[in-house]
Amino acid sequence: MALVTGAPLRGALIPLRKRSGRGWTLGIYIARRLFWLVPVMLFVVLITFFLAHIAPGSPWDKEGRQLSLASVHNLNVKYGLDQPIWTQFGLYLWNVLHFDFGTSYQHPGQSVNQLIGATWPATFTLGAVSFVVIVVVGVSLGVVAALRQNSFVDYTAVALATVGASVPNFVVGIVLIILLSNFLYKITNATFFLPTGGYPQDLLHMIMPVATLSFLPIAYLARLTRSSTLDSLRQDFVRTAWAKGLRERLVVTRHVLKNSLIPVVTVAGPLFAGLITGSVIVEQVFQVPGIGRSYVQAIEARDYPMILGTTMLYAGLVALLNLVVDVAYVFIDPRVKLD
Amino acid sequence: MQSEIRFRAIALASAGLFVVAACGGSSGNGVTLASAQELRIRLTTEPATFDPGQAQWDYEGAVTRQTFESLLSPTKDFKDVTPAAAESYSVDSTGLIWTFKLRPGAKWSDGVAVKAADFVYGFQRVLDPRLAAPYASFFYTIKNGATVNGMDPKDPGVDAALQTLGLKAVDDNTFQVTLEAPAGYFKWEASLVLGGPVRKDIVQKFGKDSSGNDKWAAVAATAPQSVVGNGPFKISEVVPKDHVTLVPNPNYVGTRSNPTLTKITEYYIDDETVAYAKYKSGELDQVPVPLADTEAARNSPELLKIPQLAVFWVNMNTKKAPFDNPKVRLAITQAIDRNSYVTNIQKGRDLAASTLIPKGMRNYRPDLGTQQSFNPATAKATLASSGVSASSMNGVKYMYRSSSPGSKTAAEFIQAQLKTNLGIDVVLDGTDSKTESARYKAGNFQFGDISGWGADYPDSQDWFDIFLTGSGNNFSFWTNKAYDDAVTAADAAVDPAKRDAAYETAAKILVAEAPVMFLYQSTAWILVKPYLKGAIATPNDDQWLGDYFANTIQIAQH
Repeated sequence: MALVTGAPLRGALIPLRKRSGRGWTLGIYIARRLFWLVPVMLFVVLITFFLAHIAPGSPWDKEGRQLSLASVHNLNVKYGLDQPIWTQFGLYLWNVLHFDFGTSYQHPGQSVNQLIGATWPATFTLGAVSFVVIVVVGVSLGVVAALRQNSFVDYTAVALATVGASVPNFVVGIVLIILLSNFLYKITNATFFLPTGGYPQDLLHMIMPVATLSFLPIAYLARLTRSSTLDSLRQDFVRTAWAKGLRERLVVTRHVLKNSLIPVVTVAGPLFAGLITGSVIVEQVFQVPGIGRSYVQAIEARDYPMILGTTMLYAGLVALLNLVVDVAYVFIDPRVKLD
Repeated sequence: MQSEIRFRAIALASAGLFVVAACGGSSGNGVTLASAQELRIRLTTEPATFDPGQAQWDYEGAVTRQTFESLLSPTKDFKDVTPAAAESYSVDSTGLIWTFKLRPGAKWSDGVAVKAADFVYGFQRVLDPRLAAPYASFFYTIKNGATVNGMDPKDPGVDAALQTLGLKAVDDNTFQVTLEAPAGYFKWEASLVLGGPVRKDIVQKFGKDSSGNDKWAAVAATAPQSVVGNGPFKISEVVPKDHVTLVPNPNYVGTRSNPTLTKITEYYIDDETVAYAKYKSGELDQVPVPLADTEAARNSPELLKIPQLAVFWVNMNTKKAPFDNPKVRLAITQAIDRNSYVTNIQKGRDLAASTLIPKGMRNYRPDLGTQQSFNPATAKATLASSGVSASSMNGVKYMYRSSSPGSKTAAEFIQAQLKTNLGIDVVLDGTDSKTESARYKAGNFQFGDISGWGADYPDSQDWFDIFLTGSGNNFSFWTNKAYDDAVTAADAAVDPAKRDAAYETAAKILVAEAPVMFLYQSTAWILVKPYLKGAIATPNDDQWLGDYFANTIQIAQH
């Protein structure tokens, strides 16, 4: 009893002193990382801005009836494209500092903020749901595979992981469409098996895109969890736990998982960012009215403000999620120190 | 994924045949109406704007045509125009002054009376360089139109200049337009949705964004309030990236009165196979047939075939060897078997064409195109007479869009035809759509791609002007004084016989000089549910069958 009560006491006293110092370090660390974001984003804008302008064709080129020279000139003046390119760049940066990302050339009267705001929920919900699916399925598969090494589950998980890691998601999407639209649709008559859009109006239509988005990350996560779980299982404290006579469930949940999930947390941030930025193709395949699809349309239309706005959003998101993971790491793994 | 090249920049009006879809009939003659009078149709793309002055594409016309009414509108047979927002119109003896008497009692969707000043403002807005309306050039026929639109948008004198345009509200019910020069085809321009009236107070109420765009007709959640129109329908709901819903405008007075439909839902579906699947599963009431599904649809009782006022051709750069030689160009046109193209590539859906003007329009003269008729022996003889040998043409580059299956198939077909019939090895030169546009402008290509024209309105002027010297739509860089003179004279003439004669001269020169190789006239294949009754199809419908006369459409019980 003494041992049990003593442990938390000791634990409570020491971190109390330590935590204040650690909080200070953490604050400085976050501030420094945020500061470094500025040159990173600046570089992203610079590259994207010039790449977009270098791409052949202007926003006013089109098939069919061509615009008159006067109309093209008027449009250029309206959107500031008649200015020297460095002036345009400077003006753009100035506006971005004021959180004005300009107006879309494709949609007169609508700002980039508004347009991204309208497409954002579809992509975000899809990403969030996929994320939950990936973590739940991927971790479970990995743990089961590790515990039942060389069993049927293990082989299935490894096979799935290998396939998942080597097949790009647009192939997965199309194979899913071929299988589900042809067979399951005919049996069930459920329209959500057809790649005909419908999401976000009807949430059942989320099933196919989520399945496609999750396939590869589930495989990846399962492999990662499997190897880290195998690693944990070989640790002394696990052996001790077994030796104490604990039941398997307790050994796994209290001792093994806690440690084997550390690498999972590391990848969670980039994984989530990857789901958002990686949905470009899935949105095309399944007609999801999200940010990725409008990004592709913007690129095709040479809609510079939309291209820049979306790229910055993606870049910022990846950077921030990486930061979140690094910070979360400190709380999960006491061995990590921020310097 | 579209198999058909999206050719038509602005689908605003047109002529030709008209077809009564399904077994048309009113509730008065035996149709038992369904309780829900809702029409569900597909647009290929989300409209960029609901502003009639800024619309460029047929998927925008599909909305603005219902929410706005221009002075005139095409007749059901598409041969002429008939008064619409105007009750009557007259042209003075000089052909310069057009006077439109507005329909008495006409109201905006918010109940305010429609006035001549609203037309003056709508037209001024289109020509205002600060709006930068993409198709302002239609109104260059109006006095000072080109001058004012060509002014520097930053010039403080723009406001004053707008007052010099040939536009005048004589009184609340009389709108007068003075033209730069006589132009009989102005009646068609007055039927374009571009010439819809606009409410100045509404535009001002919604203000401008940071680029100086009017926010009033943006495709945003505010559209049901901001799009105050004078058309038979009004916008009731906008769901970004998904659909727009129209409901009847209770204040509408005009020729398209009393629609049976209580709702039109236009879904944005860019993939044609997706749209087709939705039609099959009963989620859409009509759908175009994708080329790949031609056989399945060919014998369907739900199929309607409507020849379009749209002609496709292959461009040849007349400034680049060997296509700077008219004989070489003519030889190419004689070496392509158009019937084989239509039968094998287009699966027998379209019509082979060897002249500019499509079937269904006045001045349609297939007899003038015989010089471009397919005949390998003639082609060889023509090439021999050009002084350019077939072997020296090996390696000539044909430009196409690698992203478009239709463009790619056409490229491969032409490559094979020239190999078989003239022994020329053509190199295919794939590019993306924007790069192609840039290369067209710079003249940086030899020949190809396939491109074409869809009528903005069914007047020959809309077609022959394409090949005028300096026209932005003339990708062949072809110039011919005799052609320019004939077309300019025909455009300005009022007497139909004089116009016909001058256009005939122009057509002959065009075929003989062959700046382009005419290929085919397209036909729309549309499946229509049997319960959709009374739709009047035109050869120029804006993405959905019957859109010029939506008031005649009924949904029968099913």
